[in-house]
Amino acid sequence: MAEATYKPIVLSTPEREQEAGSLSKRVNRDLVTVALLGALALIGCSLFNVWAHQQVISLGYEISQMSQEEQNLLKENKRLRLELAALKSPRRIENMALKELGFVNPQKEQLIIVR
Amino acid sequence: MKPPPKTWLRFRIAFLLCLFSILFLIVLARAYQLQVVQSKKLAALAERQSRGIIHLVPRRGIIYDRKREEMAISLEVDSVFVQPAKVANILEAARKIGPVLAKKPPSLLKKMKEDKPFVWLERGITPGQRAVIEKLGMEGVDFLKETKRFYPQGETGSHVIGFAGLDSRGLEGVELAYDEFIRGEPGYILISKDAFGRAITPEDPGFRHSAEGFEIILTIDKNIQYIAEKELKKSVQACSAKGGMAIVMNPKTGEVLALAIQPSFDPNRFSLFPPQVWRNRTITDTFEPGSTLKIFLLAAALEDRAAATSDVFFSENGTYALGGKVIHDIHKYGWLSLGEIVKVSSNIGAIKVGQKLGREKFHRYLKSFGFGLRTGIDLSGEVPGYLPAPQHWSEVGLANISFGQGASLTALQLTTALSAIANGGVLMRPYVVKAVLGQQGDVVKENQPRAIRRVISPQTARMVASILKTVLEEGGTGTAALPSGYEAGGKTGTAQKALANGRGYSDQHMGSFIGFAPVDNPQVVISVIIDEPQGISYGGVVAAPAFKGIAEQVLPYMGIYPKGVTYLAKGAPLNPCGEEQKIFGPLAQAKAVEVSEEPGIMPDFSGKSIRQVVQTAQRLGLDLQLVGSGRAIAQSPSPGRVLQGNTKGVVRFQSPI
Repeated sequence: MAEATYKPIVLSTPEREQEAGSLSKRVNRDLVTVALLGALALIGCSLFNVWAHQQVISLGYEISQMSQEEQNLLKENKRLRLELAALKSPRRIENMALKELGFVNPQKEQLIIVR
Repeated sequence: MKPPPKTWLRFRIAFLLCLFSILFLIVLARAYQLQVVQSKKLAALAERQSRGIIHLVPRRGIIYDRKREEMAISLEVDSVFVQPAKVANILEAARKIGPVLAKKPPSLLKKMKEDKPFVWLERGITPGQRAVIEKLGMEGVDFLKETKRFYPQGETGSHVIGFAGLDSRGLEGVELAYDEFIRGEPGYILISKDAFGRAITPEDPGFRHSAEGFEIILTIDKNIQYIAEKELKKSVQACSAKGGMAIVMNPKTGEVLALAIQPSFDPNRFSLFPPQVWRNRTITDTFEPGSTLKIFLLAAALEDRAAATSDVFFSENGTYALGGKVIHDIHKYGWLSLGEIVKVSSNIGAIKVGQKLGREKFHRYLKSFGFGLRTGIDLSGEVPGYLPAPQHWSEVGLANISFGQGASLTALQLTTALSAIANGGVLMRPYVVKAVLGQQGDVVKENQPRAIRRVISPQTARMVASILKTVLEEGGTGTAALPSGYEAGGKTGTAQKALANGRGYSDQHMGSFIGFAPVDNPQVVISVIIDEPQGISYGGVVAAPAFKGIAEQVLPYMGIYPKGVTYLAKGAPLNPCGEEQKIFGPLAQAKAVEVSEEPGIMPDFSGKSIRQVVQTAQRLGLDLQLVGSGRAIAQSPSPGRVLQGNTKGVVRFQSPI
């Protein structure tokens, strides 16, 4: 590769090199700290954002599940109301009373009106 | 190693720069293309993928009776369909699905072989059926949600309620007349969907509630309706008639409390009945009423002072020649008073009254009672009937109309007109829907009782009522109609049915009885019409018993009790400072002390039921006050003591549970 054979030309004396080296090291360390902190903050923010988004979505699922359940319950309620109405039909009740239970309609002498 | 020449380095840098610039430009161009050029189309595509719309089928509103009992409800049901092209083995599919739907496999096979991309196998199946078919896991067989109308009362009230078809459209009765209210609007929900197409959350602005239709409250009472249907059916069967009609109306308001027609049909399975059975014949079919029309002749004559109750008319001893025709009475009568003409239903007597009143006036009153005009009931398909103009009445024509032939009217007109008499002379508009309610119970539309006009004065109405009362008394034609324990008024009618071609009469009859009870303060008007009874066809024989049956059951239900029932005061507390009390043990199992039953002396009531106590009290003439319910636990005065003067004895009851 071309990069492998490439060597930068450095024009400096060993003393200057040492001096500059210690300074640049300090600057580098500060920079790295700041960069690290920044990256951490960024990651933290992103994670929070993702988490919040996730929460919204999962709540959304929950809501739609609940409203589905509500719909189902309403449907069930209506079905039961229908069944109740059918069971309360006077034809059915009179039939049961007269035929199955052997009731008879009261004579008017037997009527006692309590009021 | 020799360092590379500077020019080579420059070239490489320039090359990379160009390369990345070109790549970047391509990205930019693509971005422009996507974001600007195709943005609309793509946005729509994305929308379609990530958002969904759930259609909410409009559900028809519930129909209630006047006491808020459900008469019609819509439920979501599954319908199973098949796409024949997708089915691998049609024969096997038909064989497997057939038993689940209780259908014969050949009939299913025939459906599946039809050259259609989509065939309904069955609409409105149960969740159980769906589960079984789903388990079969057959390709090409699928389900759709539909709403289906259910009528929990079955036949009861079917002619008033009508029915709605599977496409959720009202086809008959109130379902048709109030369809715009009941039908409701289709709604929808916009939702976001995830990559798997699951609903995430309903989006706020994209939500329109399942617009269920408005709810209807009828004037019909489920129980009165049932009673009317039951009694009518009994009468129709008793005389092997072709059919019959019965209407129960509140004369003070014009509310129709029951409207029964035989033969009847079950709106849950309306398609199994012939369409002529669906028809509400009380408003769509006319008939010649016969003698029931004499009521209105009587009212007109009295109101117009053409005749007084004391006036007498000669009934020609049963045979009267008029305009080349001979008119007969069933029984021969000589001189009859106005009241007697109605009581014994003399045709010749009625003709004489009609002649005295005159055709113009008679016609004016009949019109005023609503004959020949639609009543304005809130149902569709009503006909006005036929009342010929007086200038076209010949001498025989006037005679005919005097006893109810030659004019045709509907059962509802007849009932409404009689209601005017029962209502002190004011004709009310009949109606079957009390109110239309919104989803939150708010009143969208309300039908109030509406007076159309005053036809006769209250005095005349009272006089007519008292004459109609005699019809049900000894010697009248309607004795079989008298409800036991009540005073009622009414009139029998037996009419020959006109031939369908309008020329002459058949030998079939319409037997009818229309009346009201109680006479002094009418709460119900009941009309019963029996179509083509076989054998004896007199209204007093075929229709009167149904009137009696309906009145005897409906009146107590409405809180109007027959004479002869016992009333009891209830709820007054035991008076602690009064007579000494005898308190039995808790739920006295103790045997009653033998106290000889003597009138006016308190026996030992311990452990007795209310019924037993009341019967004993009646027998001994004791005036008692009852507290609580269950078994007697205390009484005052003590057993063996005399209940004096006006003081009331008290018995306290407690439930054993």
